[in-house]
Amino acid sequence: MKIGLEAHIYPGVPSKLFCACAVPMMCPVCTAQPGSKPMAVNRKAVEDTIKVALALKCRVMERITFMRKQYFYPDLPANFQRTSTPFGADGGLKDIGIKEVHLEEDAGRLDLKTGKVDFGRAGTPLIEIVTEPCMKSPSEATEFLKNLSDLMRYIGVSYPLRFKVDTNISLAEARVEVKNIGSIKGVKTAFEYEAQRQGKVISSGGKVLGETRHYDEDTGRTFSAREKETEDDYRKIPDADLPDYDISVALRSISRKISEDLFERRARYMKTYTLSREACIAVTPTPGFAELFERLAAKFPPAFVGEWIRSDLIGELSYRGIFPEDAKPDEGRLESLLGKYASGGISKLRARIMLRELLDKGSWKERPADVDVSKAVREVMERHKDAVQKLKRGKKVIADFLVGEVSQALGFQIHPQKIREEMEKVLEKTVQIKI
Amino acid sequence: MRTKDIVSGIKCGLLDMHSRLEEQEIARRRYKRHAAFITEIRSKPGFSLAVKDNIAVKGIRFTAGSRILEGYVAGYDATAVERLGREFSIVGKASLDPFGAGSGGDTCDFGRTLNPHDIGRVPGGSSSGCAVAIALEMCDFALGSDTFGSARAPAAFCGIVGFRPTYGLVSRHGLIPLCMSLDTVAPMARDVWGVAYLLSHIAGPDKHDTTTHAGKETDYRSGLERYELKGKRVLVPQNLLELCDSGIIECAEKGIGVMKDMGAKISRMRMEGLELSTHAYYLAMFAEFSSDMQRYGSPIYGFRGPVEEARGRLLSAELKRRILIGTLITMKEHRERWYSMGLKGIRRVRMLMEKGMERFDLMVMPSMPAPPWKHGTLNPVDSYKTDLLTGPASLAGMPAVSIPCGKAHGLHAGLQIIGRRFDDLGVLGAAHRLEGFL
Repeated sequence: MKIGLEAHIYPGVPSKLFCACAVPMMCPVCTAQPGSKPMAVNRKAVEDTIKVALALKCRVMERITFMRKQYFYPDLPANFQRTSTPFGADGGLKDIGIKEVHLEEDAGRLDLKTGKVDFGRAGTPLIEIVTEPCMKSPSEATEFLKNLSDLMRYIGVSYPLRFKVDTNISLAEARVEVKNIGSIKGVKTAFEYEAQRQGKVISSGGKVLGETRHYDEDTGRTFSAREKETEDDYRKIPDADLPDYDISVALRSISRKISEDLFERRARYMKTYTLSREACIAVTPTPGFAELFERLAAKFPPAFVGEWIRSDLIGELSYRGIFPEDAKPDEGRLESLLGKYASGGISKLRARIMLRELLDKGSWKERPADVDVSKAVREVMERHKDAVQKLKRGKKVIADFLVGEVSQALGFQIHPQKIREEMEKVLEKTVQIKI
Repeated sequence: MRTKDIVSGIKCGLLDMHSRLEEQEIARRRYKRHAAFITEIRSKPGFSLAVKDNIAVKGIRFTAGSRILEGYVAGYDATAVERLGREFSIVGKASLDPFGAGSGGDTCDFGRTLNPHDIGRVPGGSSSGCAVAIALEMCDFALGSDTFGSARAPAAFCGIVGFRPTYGLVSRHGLIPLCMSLDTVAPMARDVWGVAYLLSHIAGPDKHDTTTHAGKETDYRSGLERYELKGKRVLVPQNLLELCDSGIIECAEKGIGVMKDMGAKISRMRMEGLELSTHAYYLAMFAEFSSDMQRYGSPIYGFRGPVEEARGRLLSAELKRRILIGTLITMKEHRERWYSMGLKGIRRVRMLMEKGMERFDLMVMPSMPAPPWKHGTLNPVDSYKTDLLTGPASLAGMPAVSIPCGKAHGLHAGLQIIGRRFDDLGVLGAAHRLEGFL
C-alpha cells in the first residue's frame, strides 16, 4: 500500500487571500465578478506559509508567482484557482518526505446532495502541503497528521487545526484519489474503507480503476466522483493581475525569529528531563509554553513539573477555554505554588485550588500559617463519634473519611499525611490502636 | 467647440448646462442608428461622458457587448468610474466588439456600430461606441479601454483623440479583461486637453489593482501648455511606416514635417522585429483571454440555463475562436510550441522598444496602417494584422496617443505618438502642440 497526502491547512488569518473579506462575507473579488481584480496578496498568509515551509525543513524560494490553475467545477467562481508556485520544496516531517508547500485560495462549498454552492468561504487562504507517496499504512498517515497538527500549533499557524485532506491511495498500480476529508478520524476511516474496497476488487480478480472518489463524513464511505484515465491538465498560466512576489525579506526576518524544532525539543525533554511521552507533548504546545516549563524545570524536579503541567495546568486552562498560546500566568506565584506543592507542604487538591484562584482572581487567598491541626482533628472526631467508634473497632477505611473531613475543615492546605499522623497521635492517647 | 472651453464655460456659468444636455439628447436620438450606446442612461448636469460597456458602473447593465452577459448588472463601480466624481454625468454605456475582441468595432451583439463619417465603413475597435459618440457630439468625454490599440484605432477612424496610458497608471479594477497583462483604461475626447482632463481624475495607485503605480504628475492639464517640442528627439520606425497605405504615409509625413518645423530632431530607423508584435500578442492574448472567459460557464452572471447553451449560442464566433485557440495553446502538448513562444515574442518586442527609446523622447508613426475598411470585408486574420502599429507600445506598456491627422482617401487618419513608460505628460504635451496644425 502506498499513501500520499495533500493536506490543506487553513491558517488562522482573519481575511481572504486576495480581498479584505472575512468569511463568510463576499465581494466582487472573491465571487469573481466580471472586471474585478485581486487585491494585494494577504501578507499574514504569506508569512504563515513561509513559517510552514521552514518548519517542514523545506528549501525555501526567494520569489513566488501566482498561477491560474484552470478547471471547471461549480464551486469555483472563476473556474480557475489562484495558486502560488512552491514556497518550499524537498522537506520532511520526521520520516515523511514533503514534496512541496504552497499557498492557494479555497473554493466555495458545493453541497453534492442539493447542488447548491456557498461562496462564503471562496477565496480563503489555504496552505497546501504535499507529501511524497511514502506512507504504508492508514495509521502512519494519521500519525503524520497528528504530528502536523501539533507542529502547526507550535509555530502559531493554526489552532485548533482546520484542514482538508486529499489523499491518494493505491494497493495496485492505479492511483485512487479520495477528496475532501475534514478530520484525522475521517482520514483513518476513509483509508480503511478504501483498503478494504480495493482489496476486495483485487482478490475477486478485478482491476482497480484510477479515479477520484469523494468521502462522505456521515457514512464513512467513499463514492466514485469521476473516472480518471489521464493525468489532469490544469493549463497553468501566470496570473498577470498579480506581480511576482519577493518573499526574501519576510523569509529572513522569520528565519531570525524561528525557535527550536518541535520534535527535537520533545526528544531533548525525554532524554535530559526523563519526561514521559505524554508530558513531553503536553509541555510543548507552543515555544512560549515550553520555555515556561524549562524555567520551572530549572527550579523543581523536571519530571514533577511536567507531570503537574500535564495533569493540572493544561486541564485548568482548557476548562476555562484558554489556549496555552494565550495563557499568561503570573510566573512568580506559579513558582511559589509549585514550591509549596513540591516540598509536600500542601496537598494536591490544595495546589489545584490555589491554581484555580490564581487563574480566576490573579492570586490565592493565603491561609493562616499556624493552623492547629490537632485541634481540628479533635473537633472532627468529636463530631463523628460513631465513625471513630467504627474505626476503633477496626474498620480502617473509615480513617480516609475522617482525614478528608479534617482536610476540608482546614481548607485543603495541609498535606493529608500530616493529618493522618496527627490523628494517630490523638487515637494513641485514647486507645492503643495503630491505623 | 474645444473641450477646454466647454469645461471652463460650464464651470464659470457661461454655458447653459441644461441646453447642452438637451442638444446632446437630440444628437443621441438623431444618431441612434449608429448604435454607439448599448444602454442609455438619463443624464444629470455635469460633463457628459460615455463609458465603454466593459467597464463597471454600479447598478447599470454590464454586458461587455456580448449576449452572454445580457442580463448582468454590475454590483460595483470600476475604480476609474468611482474617481470621476459627481462632476461627470454618465450618459451611456458605449458599444464595443464583444469583450473587446475586435479591431473593426462593428461586431457588438447589440447592434452594428457605424463610422460617423461613412456609415458603410467600420468605426474602428474595440472602443467603437466611445469614439462614435464623441465624434457625433453625443457626449464630450469617454472612458474606453486599450489593450492592443482598442482606443487608438477607433480614435483614428472617427477623427478624435484616444490615449493609452502607461500600463499601471490607471487602475483596471472594473475593466473586463481581454488580455490582463496589457489592458488599460483609456481616456478619449475630442481633443488632447479633454484627454488630459479625464486622465487627471482617474490616474493613480489603487489597492484594487496591484499593478498600479503612482505617476509623476497629478494634473496633466497644466503641463500641456508648458510642453515644447523644440529639441525633442523623435524616432520614426521606418520599416513599420513603409508597410502602410500610401495615403496614410502621406498624412503621417505631414505630421512629422510639422514636428520638424517646431524644432524636433527627427531620426528615421529601421526597427526590425517590431512587426513580430502582432504574432506574439495574439498568442498571449488567446491564452489569457480563454482563462478569463472560463467563468462564463457558471450561471452566476445573469444567464440562467444550461452551460452548453450559454457558451454555445451566446458567445460570438470570434469569442469562441479565441477561447478555443487559447485553450489549445496552453495544453501540455502545445504550450511549449505556442504559448511560450508568444511570451518570448512579447519579451523581445518589449526589449526592442525599450532599447529603441533609450536615446529618444518620442516615437511617431501612423495609428492604423490603412483607412477604415468596409463592413464585413476583412477576414479575422487580416483584421488581426491591422493592429500592427498600435501593438509595440502596448507590449512595452508605454503611453501612446492617437490624434487626428488629416484625411487619406477622404477618410480620417490618425497620428500615433509614443513615449517612455510614465512619460504620459510628454506624449500628451507633444500631441497638444501638434493638434492645431494637422
